[in-house]
Amino acid sequence: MNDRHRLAVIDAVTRIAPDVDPADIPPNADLQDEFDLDSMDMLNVITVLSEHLGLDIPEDDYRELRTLASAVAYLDLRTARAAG
Amino acid sequence: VTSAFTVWGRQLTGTAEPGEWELLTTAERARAAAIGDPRARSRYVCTRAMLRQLLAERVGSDACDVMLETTPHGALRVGGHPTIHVSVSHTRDLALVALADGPVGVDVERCDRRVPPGPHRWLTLGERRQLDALDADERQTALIRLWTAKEAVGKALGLGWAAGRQAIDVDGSTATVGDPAELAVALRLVELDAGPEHIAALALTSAGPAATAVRSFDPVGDVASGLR
Repeated sequence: MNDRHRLAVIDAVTRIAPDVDPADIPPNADLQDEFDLDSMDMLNVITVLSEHLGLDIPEDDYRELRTLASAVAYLDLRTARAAG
Repeated sequence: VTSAFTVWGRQLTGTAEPGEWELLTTAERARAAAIGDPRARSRYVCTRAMLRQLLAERVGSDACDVMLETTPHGALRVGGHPTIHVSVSHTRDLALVALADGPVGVDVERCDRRVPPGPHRWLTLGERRQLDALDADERQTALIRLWTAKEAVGKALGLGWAAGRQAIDVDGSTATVGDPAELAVALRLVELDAGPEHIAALALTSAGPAATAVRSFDPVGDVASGLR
């Protein structure tokens, strides 16, 4: 798991949902269910994330970002693809 | 074909009553207990209790005996009752439950909700043109309307996020999903009156009225009092 990506996802989630404890995000929990985020919150999270990382995230890929672990795996893959 | 439907709303400003917890299944109570934020926990309990009370009334069973199933795309199904369609949406202060005899999707947002700035990749070209003609305030409201409409359509199709918001084109009370030149599905959008602070939309795969009011649901009374 790329730590930069992990921190970027945690930062984006806590910026949109300030009540969330950054140290307490279960890697495999559905972020929406776990923190009562709705889909516009998720759009905000993805917008923050894509600006922060300078990465264009197409809508078809949003479902990859449902959990912390899947989001990091997705970002790792995207970066590896761009580098490769 | 016209679909019969009703939408109920309740405020989510208070704390869930012990009686509301009792309407939930053991699994739902465990899930609620695991939600760290007490306000989010209350919202979950109140919304579930309302959903269960309404379904119990519809199918004639106890609230906690209603079998609620969630599909892989997050759509709710009522076990043993394939003709009852249900959709749920909530903001931090209002929950809506729609029951219908055909596929249905409901979505609500607060009017003061800030839609993230563009590029709005979730909008179609036609929707962007509609927005270009508006001033800043109108635009913000129109963006929330488009958002709730697309959310409702995704839910009515049972696809949620997987529907792809850019594949849904909203034009007035019609939403078209897919390429019109190939296989497109048209849905009816119903404007819901959920009070001055909220914007809410309902989507049906059949014909329906242009607009309808949300019925007020009273969680402490019996279900009949929610049918005012």
